[in-house]
Amino acid sequence: MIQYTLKRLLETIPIWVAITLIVFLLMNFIPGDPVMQLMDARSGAIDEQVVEQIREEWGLNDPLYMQYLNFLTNLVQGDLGTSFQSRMEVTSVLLERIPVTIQVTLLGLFFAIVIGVTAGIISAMKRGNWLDTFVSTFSIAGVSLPAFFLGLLLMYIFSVKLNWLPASGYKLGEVKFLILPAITLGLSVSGIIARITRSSMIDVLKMDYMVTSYAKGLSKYRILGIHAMKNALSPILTIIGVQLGLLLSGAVITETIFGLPGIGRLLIDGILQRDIPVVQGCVIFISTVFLVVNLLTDICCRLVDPRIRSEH
Amino acid sequence: MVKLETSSGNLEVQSTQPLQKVKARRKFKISLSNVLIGLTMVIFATVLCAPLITSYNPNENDLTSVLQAPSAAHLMGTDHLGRDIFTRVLFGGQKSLLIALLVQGIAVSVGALLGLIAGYIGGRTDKFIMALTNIIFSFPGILFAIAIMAALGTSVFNLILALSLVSWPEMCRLVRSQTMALKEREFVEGGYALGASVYRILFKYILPNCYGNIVVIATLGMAGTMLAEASLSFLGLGVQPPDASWGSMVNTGKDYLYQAPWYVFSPGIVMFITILGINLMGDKLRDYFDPKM
Amino acid sequence: MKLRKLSILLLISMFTLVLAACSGGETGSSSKSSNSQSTNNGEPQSGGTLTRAHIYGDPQNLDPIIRSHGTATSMITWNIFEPLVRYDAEKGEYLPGNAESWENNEEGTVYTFKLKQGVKFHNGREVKAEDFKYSLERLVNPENASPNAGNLQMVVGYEEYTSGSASELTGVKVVDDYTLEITISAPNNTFLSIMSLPYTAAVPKEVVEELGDEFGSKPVGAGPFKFSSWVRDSEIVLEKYEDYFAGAPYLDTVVYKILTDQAARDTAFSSEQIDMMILGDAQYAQYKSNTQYAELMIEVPELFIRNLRFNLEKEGPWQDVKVRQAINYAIDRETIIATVLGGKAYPAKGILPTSIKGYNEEVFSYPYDPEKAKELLKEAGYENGFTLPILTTSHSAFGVTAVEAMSGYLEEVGIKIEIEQVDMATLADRASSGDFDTMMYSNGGMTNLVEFISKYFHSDNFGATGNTGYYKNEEVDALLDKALTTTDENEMIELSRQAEAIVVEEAPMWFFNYNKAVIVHQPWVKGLQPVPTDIDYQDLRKVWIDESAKN
Repeated sequence: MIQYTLKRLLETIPIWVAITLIVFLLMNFIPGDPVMQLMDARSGAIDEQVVEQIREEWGLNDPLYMQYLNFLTNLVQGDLGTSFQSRMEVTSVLLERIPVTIQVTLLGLFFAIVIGVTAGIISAMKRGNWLDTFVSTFSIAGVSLPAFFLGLLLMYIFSVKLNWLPASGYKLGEVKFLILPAITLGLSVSGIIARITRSSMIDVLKMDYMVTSYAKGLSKYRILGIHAMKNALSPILTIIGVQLGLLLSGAVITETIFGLPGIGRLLIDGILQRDIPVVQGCVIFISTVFLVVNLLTDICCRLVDPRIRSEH
Repeated sequence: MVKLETSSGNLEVQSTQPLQKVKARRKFKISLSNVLIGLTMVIFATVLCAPLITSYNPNENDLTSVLQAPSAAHLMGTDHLGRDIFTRVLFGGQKSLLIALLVQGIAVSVGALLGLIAGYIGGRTDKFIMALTNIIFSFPGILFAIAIMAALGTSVFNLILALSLVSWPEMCRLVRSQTMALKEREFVEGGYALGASVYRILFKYILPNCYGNIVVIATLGMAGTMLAEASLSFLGLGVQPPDASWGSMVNTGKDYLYQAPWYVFSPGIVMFITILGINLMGDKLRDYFDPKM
Repeated sequence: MKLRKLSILLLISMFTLVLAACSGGETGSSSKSSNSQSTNNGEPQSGGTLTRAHIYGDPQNLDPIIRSHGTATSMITWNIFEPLVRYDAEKGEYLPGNAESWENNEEGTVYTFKLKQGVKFHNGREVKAEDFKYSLERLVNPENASPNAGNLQMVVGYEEYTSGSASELTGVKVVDDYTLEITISAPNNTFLSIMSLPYTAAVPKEVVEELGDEFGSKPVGAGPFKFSSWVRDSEIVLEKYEDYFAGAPYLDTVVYKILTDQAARDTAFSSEQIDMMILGDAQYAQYKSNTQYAELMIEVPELFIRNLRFNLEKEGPWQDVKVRQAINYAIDRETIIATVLGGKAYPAKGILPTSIKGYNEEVFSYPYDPEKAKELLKEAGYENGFTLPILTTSHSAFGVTAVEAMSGYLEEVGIKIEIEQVDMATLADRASSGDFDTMMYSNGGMTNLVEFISKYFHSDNFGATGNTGYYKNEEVDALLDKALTTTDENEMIELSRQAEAIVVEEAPMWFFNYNKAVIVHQPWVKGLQPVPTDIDYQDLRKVWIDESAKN
């Protein structure tokens, strides 16, 4: 297993390089000069000479491949460069934001799994029953609702009307700021998890060996808990792995609405202001998390479902 | 290994017989989900026949009646330029549905095909395809979209291209993981032993067993696509004005949330019901397709 | 079993949710006092916290030289740093800042500033003339890559210093500890306005050198408030500086809450989590019609003109002055403002906003006259119309909404519109490189009318510098050159007005509107001012909290 993990880790390196290269090319490809974004465009106080000076100072006049090689060399040394906009080290900018996004995402994922898996199991067991219909419809409704809409709705109820939770803001270690964003984030994902859980559970429940287990006279909960869950876990884990990545990038909307200082907003601002080093930093972070989560998902799947193991 | 033969025989029985059983068992009931699906059908029909239903021009301003509440003259009120929201919802629906359907169509075909290949062949091919999905997944979709639209120009075609590009990997990964699990199953190994071709195994044995989850992901994807289109229109990269789509209407309308709630709610609720209806249909389709039920 | 465990988990999580929800309710709902007094009533009180909405996104860096002079940073840095002079935008005059007095020599090229004694940085050290020399050199030093450096080009020795051939900026001379002499190459009426901006304020050398790049995260100046804390993309907190030379301000604490989402701001304001915020176009009418808020609003015409700029470098019907005039006649800007913008703008007359010093009431203004427009188009040979491509953004006031609103009027005179919507960064880039036919945008912010007109219509400023439409008229150039260098203020205004009249006549843009900037505040916030440069540039030294209005 350790060998497998190491092998997988090594395999992620080329993907990683490909990602940084694509981001680099895309950011250079999009119209909108990064140095121009520093200037006050509305009052038009732009001095070509100064623009040229800054470009020279930051090495933006070098040929593209040189710029990318420089970026890679620095990256290997753990240096992500300096933000064009804030002139801060990208690593320290990221370190400030990452905890916020991770907290919201994990809390959101927690809500999503708890709600989603429970709902999925209930409706799989009570298939056809009113409870199944209710849970299915509810979970589908959750997915069909735009996130910003849900966010505003929650904000309106819990902040304006009930005055229970703050509408926006963030303080380290205070969970109250994270609850509404996490629910907003988690609810849409919980629907997906519920549906995958339900459909996988139904698949498994129909399998020959489940029928056998029934025949053997095992208790319903035992069958469900041990046999069914174990076999349905692989697709559920896969979807959770995929969703975590989506949660991370889906954080943009929730972070904007609830005024949370996370990676999502940093990334969007970075793209809009053509702050290439910041965009690179965010993408590297998101892709790393994604690759690691994937790796973990695969390892978990292999542990849960030994049949997959034989194939490698 | 005598057992194999019987289990593959089982498969044939499983994949045909129960289908009729399901059909026979089903009777049409008036349930919540049927009502919603019916409503969605009505929405589809209305959207398709838009020019017959409304006499307003969706893009004609009437600055003397901006942000008017719903009334007999304007069923869903008017927007910030005095345009009839009902009319715009109908015409916008054509764009939204077309975009969402095409994007999911592309996502399903490309995603499922690559997923089958990756899951079945494994090895280097699998690694390569998974690397592709990893790259796209770990990438902020919006960056892709901005780049594509900036490079190729803003048009509905490019919008579909951009949205498809970020939609297929989820399908691909799911089909792959199911394929990997399924190909170890007795009936597939049985099919192999019976000398079925790879093509037959992939499309007759494995793929039908994935339909359930494909339908689930594709219907969910419709919702995601419609919403993604909205967030792109926030950056001016969605459907170009004066034309509307549900997404772009929701996006413009949210600024008037407190002042003219009907502006965001009208397209929002129609979109919500449609997505809900599509999802519920997905459920039914899943029951229909799934050979093991 | 699994199921039971899961249901327990679900229960627990719901329980925690409720618990957390209850503990979160610290701001009790308060009944508001009904007496909404006008803003400046009563005797100012010391103390209290002002929480204001910052709508522009994270300011990124609070080192005054790093960011261009925009609202996102200046609304904060102006309170941390003390420039030589301060501009009172309401009165239209310069008041003492760090300098208690200043004079200009006969030729208008040498400014001598007398610094106030006893002005101290937040670290307790006194500000001396040497600090200004250090700070101005730091501003223009190419190593610091300041986007504002170009504004000091007029200072003698700029070229030599920036190219590295001189070790100091010779135009800035320290006469003694409290006397600073700045020599500029030619008289320039914009010089004082530059000396009133945060980026020309003094920064303490020892702190800058100690903190390095971190200075932008922990700024130290000599202004009325000192920096306290900053949670990126969330909030910035300033505290009263007790030793401020002109007396400590009333407020104990100022909190800038970074709220970029409009609906989120509405929610925060109605739940009293913020004390004041700037209103967007969509919100204005709604707050205005709410009796609770109607009297708690401050309005001012801002120094910006929203316009549709014609690119005269590009071939097209707009090369013909008659076509440009026709477009100005064809559109009913009053109706667009009243309906689409909810009344949150003032119809444009000429170029200059009504709140600028020297504004000319007599300037020609194109009335809404579609017949005249058709006539002009016919004379120009376009009676069958043409297609007008417009580059724009998603901005609600000078973006796609405005373009869509005007399209109806233009269609009536036979002009079809083709919208190309892009994001701000792309627009700025294409504007400066001239890659557009016509463009909807907003320009301005300058307090001096010559500076305002020259930036956008002088042929020296082609392209990125401001004249993005490549408008050129030698008479206008000559008038502006003269107005820029004259030392007589009345003459400056007179010359500028003549230049403006010509430009309006030649219509190199469709003159749309001047923004009506609006702040809504809670009843206990007192002393807010209608600042025309940007209403968010509140002089917080004047603002105070009336605790009695809170209850």
